[in-house]
Formats: sequence, structure tokens, C-alpha cells
Amino acid sequence: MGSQYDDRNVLAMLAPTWLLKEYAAKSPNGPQKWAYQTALANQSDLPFIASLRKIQDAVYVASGVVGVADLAISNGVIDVFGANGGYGLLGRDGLKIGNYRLDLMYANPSAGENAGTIFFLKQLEKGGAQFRWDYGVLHKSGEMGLHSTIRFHWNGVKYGSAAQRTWYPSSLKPPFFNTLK
Amino acid sequence: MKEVKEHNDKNGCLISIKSVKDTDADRLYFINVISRLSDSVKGYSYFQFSRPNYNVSDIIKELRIIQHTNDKLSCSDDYFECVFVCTEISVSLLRCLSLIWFAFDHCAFCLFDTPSIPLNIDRQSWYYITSMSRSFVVFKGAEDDVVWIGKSNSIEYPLLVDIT
Repeated sequence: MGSQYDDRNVLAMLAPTWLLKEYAAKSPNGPQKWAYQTALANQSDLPFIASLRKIQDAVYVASGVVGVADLAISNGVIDVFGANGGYGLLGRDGLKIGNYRLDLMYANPSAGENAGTIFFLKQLEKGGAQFRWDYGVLHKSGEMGLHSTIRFHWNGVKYGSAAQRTWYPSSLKPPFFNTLK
Repeated sequence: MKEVKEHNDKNGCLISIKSVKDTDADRLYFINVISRLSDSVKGYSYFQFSRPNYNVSDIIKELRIIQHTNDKLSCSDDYFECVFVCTEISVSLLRCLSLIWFAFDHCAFCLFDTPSIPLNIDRQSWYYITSMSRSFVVFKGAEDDVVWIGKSNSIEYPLLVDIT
């Protein structure tokens, strides 16, 4: 008979991996330590928990990365998009979750110094959904700035299309878009 | 009508065209732009494109079919990064380039006015490439419906505003 999971197990499995590891390391040998180790093992053994963890980790990382990127850009930090040779924080292969791919902080070399993409979550199919924040020279102003591309499907209707938007829907507007000088 | 904008802070060496979208009409527009640029230079062309937005195997297959003897196509196994070098841009290649432009996240199409390609231009900025050799560099920036064209100081843009 397979193991049964109650709310406490699921909550433990959804906790950040680093936190579980820290608790496991600090706990004396015994039921408490075993519980943390079991939760850690289950995080990778159960496919749906593993997928959920990846998405959670991606969101944690992305929200932090976007904030750090804004701070770095507004303070004139050189080579903001230089991680992993310009391929970004998640490397050349990005992070694949099902039919989606997430990339963070990668350079756009041909566009010049400090041009790149802060966050790009895309559905890997033609005309698929995209959520994207870029930094580079803008057509309208001719100056460096942030730009978002949002394209998604809802109830069979496609929103955003290939149109670019320099406005940000209020529900998606992070506060840092106003701070750039 | 497309908005063609010259960016004066780059000494007149950078223009942007908005909005060029993934539609039949705009692909034709893009083909005309590349055609006029390539007609005004007479050297090698170097195309680098990376980060496909979907499965691009059909496009790469088409590119391999139209490849001529002296052309060189190099792609990573997953088509994440590709480089294509050629001496002449045919009509079928122009069509293929318009598909590549919208299928990849990063594109830099370098059209040289010289019989050779400078060394080490892979993953370099448009202003580095245009300063190394007389050329146009057509690339994507932050907005994916904007076509950016950088040029060397010593060459002039062909007329682009009348393209519809």
C-alpha cells in the first residue's frame, strides 16, 4: 500500500528546499530529522510536487531577480546581463517546465552593452503565451528603458498578440517600473 | 505606414522601424528592407540567430535546402544558436530570413560591403561590427516588433521610407 500524504506532509514538501535542509541539519537524529528528510525526498519523488516546486522556485528567483536587475540598472552597474557568459542566470538551457521555458537576466549582445532580457517566460509553440521584460534602447525615446511584452490566451481568445506595450496593466505593474531614471 | 526613426545620438548610424509584426504583409516589408540593404553593399553576409521561440526544425531544413555550395550554415544540435554565411542573397533566402527573424528571439543580420568578414564578430554589438568593417547590422532590441539597423559611418542608408 502506498504512503498517504496529509496536509502537514504536503506543506512540508512545499517548503523551500534550502529551509528544509537547514532544519534537517540542525535537528538531532530522531523523528523530527526523519520528517524533514522524508519531505526533502518526496519533493523530488513526486512528479506533481517536483513541478510545483520548480514553478515556485522560478517565481521566487524571478521576483528577486527583477528587483535586483532594476536596482543594478538604475545604479549604472556594468554588465548586468553578464551571468554565464551572457546566457543568463539559468544558463543556456534556461528552466523548462512542461511546454514553457523560463530565462532570467540574459544579454542581447547585438543590441549593445547592458541590453538584455530580465525575465522571459514563454510557451514553446508558434504564437504561444509570453511574459517578458526587456531592457534596451526604445524606439520611441531612443534611450535605454524597460519594455514589457505580454501575450496570452484566455477562454480561447488571444490577448496582446505580437503588439508591444510600453504600458503595464495595473495588476502586473511592479513598482520598479517607475523608478528608472 | 511604418515609422522609421533616426537616432541622432548615434551619429546618424542607427535607425529603428516600428512596427514590423509576424504577418504576411510585414514579412514582405522585412524582405524589401533586407533586399534594399543587401543591394547597396556587395560583400559577404553573416547571419546569426539564437533562442528559438518554438520548434524551428522546418525553417532550418528549408535553409539547408536553399544553401549554395559556398554558403556555410552552422547550428547547435537543438538549434539554439545558428550562424549562416553567404555571398549572395537569393529570393528564397530572403523569404527564409523573414521566417527566421520572427522565429528567433535574437537575430543579427550583418551585410558587409567588403569581400571578407572580420574575425570574432560572433555575439558582438552592432556598433562593434559596423566599426570593424563597412556594413549594415539588422538586429532585434527590447521591442520585438522593432527592426533596428546600425551602419558604419562611411556608408549611407538606402531609401527605406517608401517601402510599404
